[in-house]
Amino acid sequence: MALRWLLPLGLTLAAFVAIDRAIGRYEEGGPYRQEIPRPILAVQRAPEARHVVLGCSTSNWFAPALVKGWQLPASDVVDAHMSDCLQACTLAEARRLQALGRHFQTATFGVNTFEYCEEYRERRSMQEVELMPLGRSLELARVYSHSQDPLRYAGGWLLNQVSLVYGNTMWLQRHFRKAWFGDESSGSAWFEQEPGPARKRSQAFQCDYAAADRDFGLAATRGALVAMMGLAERVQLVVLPDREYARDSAEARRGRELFAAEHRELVAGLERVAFIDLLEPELLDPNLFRDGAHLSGKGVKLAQSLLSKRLIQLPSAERR
Amino acid sequence: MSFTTASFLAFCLLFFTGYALLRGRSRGYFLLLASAVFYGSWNWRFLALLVGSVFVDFFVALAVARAEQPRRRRLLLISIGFNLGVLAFFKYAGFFLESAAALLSRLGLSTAAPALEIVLPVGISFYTFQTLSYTVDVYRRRLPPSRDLLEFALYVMFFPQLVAGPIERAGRLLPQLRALSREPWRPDPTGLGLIALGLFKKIALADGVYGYASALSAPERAFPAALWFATYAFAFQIYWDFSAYSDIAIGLARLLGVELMTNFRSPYAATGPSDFWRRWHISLSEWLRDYLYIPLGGNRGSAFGTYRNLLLTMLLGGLWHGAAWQFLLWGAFHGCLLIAARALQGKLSSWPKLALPRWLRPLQTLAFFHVTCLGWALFRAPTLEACGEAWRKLFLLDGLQLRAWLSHLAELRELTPVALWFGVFVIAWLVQYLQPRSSKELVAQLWSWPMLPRAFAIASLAYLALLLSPLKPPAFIYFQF
Repeated sequence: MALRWLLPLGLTLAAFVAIDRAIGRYEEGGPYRQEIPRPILAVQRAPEARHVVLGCSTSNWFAPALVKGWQLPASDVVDAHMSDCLQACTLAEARRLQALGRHFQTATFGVNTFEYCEEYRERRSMQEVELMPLGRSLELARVYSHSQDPLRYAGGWLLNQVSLVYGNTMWLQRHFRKAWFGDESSGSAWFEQEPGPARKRSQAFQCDYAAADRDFGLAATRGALVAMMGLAERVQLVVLPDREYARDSAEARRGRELFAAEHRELVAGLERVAFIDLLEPELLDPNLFRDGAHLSGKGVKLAQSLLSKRLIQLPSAERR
Repeated sequence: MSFTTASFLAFCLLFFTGYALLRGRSRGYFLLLASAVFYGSWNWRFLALLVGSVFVDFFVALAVARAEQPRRRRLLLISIGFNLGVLAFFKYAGFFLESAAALLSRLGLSTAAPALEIVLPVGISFYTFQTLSYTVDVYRRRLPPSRDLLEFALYVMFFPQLVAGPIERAGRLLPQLRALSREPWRPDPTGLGLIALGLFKKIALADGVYGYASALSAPERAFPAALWFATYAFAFQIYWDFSAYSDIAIGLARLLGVELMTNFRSPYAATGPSDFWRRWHISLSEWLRDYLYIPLGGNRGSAFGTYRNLLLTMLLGGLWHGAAWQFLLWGAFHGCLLIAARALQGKLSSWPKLALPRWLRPLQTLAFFHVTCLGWALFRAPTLEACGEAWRKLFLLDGLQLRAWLSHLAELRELTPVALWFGVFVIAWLVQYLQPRSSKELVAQLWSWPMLPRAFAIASLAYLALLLSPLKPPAFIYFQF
C-alpha cells in the first residue's frame, strides 16, 4: 500500500527534478543562478588571497578600496560579493568557503539600510540553499525563525531543495511567460480606447523599514558575521545608507541613527568584528545613488575614498 | 497562508509528519491545532470568533435536541442570531450604513456615515453557513447533535475547507471526522492528483489571466471587443480560481481520508440557469435550496410565489458574496434568469414542438455561456455605474470595434498573448462542453492510467504551475467573501 502510494509521488518528483535540471542549467538558468558559481570560482582561482569581500551588489566596490587603503597588491584581495546575496546568503557563502577549506585574514561585508528590511524573495532562498552546506542548515533555520513568516522561509528552503527552478522563477517566468503568453502585468493600455497618462514606475529597492523586518535583517547580519568569524581572523562590517535614508529629513535621520546603533550594538558583542560607519555626511545625498540601494559612479568613488581611510589597521607583518 | 504559498508547503510537511506519528484521539487534537494555526496565520484575533461559533452552536444544538417547542425554536433563533449577527456586523454593517447615508443624502438630508473600518474575517461566510446548517438540521431532527466537542470543532474548523468551502453538511462530514480518531489513517492518493490539478488551475491559468479581467474595472475606457475579451477572461479566471481551491481542499481532505462534496461540474457546459446552478458552487446552491428556497415555500405555491422565492433566494445568494450593490444585482440577474427559464419551460412543455432539436444543443450551451458572462461583468465591475457602462458596451450599443482594437493590440505588440489566451478560452470551453465532468471524475479517469503516464501528468501539471506563476500571485478570489 505504502509503495503504491509513494511510487507515483517519487516518480512525480523525479520527473520534476529531471525537467528542472534540463532547462535550469547554470548557463541558461537566469542571472540569479548564474551569479552563484562566479564568486566561488573567484575564490578558488585566488589561492593566495588573504582578504575577502562578501555581501551583495552594494559591496561590489569594496575590493579596490581595500587594496588602496591597505596598500596591497590587487591579487591579495578577492572580490566574492554576489549580486542579490543579502545577509542570510552571505552567511551561506561564508560557510561554503569555509567548507572548501579557505581561511582569510580579513573578511569585509557591507550592509545598507535597505538590506535590513527587505522581504522574502524566492531567488534569495535559492542562493542560500545552493550555497549552504546541508549540515549547517540549522543556522539558516535560526535566522528564518526571526522572520514574520518562518514557514514561508522553511517552504522556500524545501522547494529549493527539491527544485532549483523554484528560486529562479523570476527569470524563468519572465522568459517563458513572455514567450508563450505575454506579460499580464502590462497595465491597462491593451484595452483602452484613449490611453491615459503613463503611470510612474514604482521605485525599485524601497522598503518600509518595519520593525519585524529589521529584526530579521539583524538576525541575518548576526548570522553572517558569526559565519565570517569562522572564515577570517578579523571581520569588518561596513554600514551604508540607501537613497531613502540618505535624505535630509527627521525620519531619515532617525532611521539612520537607529540602524547604526543597532549594528554597533550587534558588533559590540562580537570580539573580532570591527564596525565601520559610512553613514557620513559626505555620502548622505540621494543624488549619489543610481537607484534605491546602489551608489552611482560618483557615489562609489566618494565611498571608496571614505572606506579606504576607515579600514582597520593591519599589523605590518600582514602587509606585503 | 494560502494553498499556493511556500508557507503552506512547509505547513503540510510538518502537519502530515505529525499526523502520521499520532494515533487515536490525539490525532484529532493535532488536526484541530493545525487548523487553528492555519486559520490564525491570517489573523489570529479572529480565531476567537471561530471558537465562539464552535461553542455556541455545539451547546445550542445539544439544548435544541433536548428541548420541546416553543423553547426549541427560541434556542434555534439564538444560534441563527449569533451566526448571522456576527456575519452582519463584520460583512454588512459598513455597507448598510453607507447605503443609508447615501439614500438620506439623496433625499436632501445631509448625514455623514460613520467610517467603519471593519476587517472581514477570512472564510466567515463559509463557516457561518456550515454551522447554521448544523443547528437547523438538529432542529429539524434530521441529525442527532454531536456530543463530542472535539469532533464538532473539527467540523467547523477542518482546515482544508475552512476558508473557502465546499460548505459541508454535518450529516456527511461529522461521521468521517469521527472515524479519523477511531480508524487507522487511510490516505487516498488520488488527492495528490486533485491538488496538482488545483495548483495548475490556480497558478498557471487563473493567476495568469488575472490582468486581462482588469478591463471590467474601467469599462468606460475600454473597446467593446476588449470588454468582451475581459469578460471571457474573468469568467474563466473565477472558475479556475474557485474550482482550484475546491480541488485542493478536496485533495487535502482525501489525503486525510475524508471525502468532501463536489463543488463544480463543468459549469460552462450548462444549457440553462437551473443547470448552471447544479454545476457552479454546488455546495452553496444546495445550501440556498435547502435552507432558504424550500423554507420560503419553494415551488409548492403559485407561479408568482415560486418566482418570488427564486428571486429572494438569488438576491440573498448574491449578497452572500459581498456587501455591494453589484453582487445584489448579479443575484437579481440570476434570479430573473431562473424565473424566465421556469416560465419558458412551462410554455415549452405545453408545445413540445418548440423544444430545441438536439443538434442545436452546442449553440444553446454557447449562448448560455455568453449570458453567464453578462452576469460576470456585473460581478466584477467596481460600481453600479460601471455595471451599466459594461452592459452598454457588451450589448454592442457602441458597436464591437474589433478591427480598431486589433490594430491597437498590434501596435502595442500584445496581439499574440491575447490570441493565445483566446485560444486557451476556446479550448477550456470545449473541454467543459465535451467532457462535462467534475475534477473528481477527471482525476478518477487519470488514476485509471498506468502509473508512469499518471505520474508524468501530475509532474507536468505541478511543474507548469510553478513555471507559469506570475511574479506577484493574487489571492484566491473567494477569500474576500
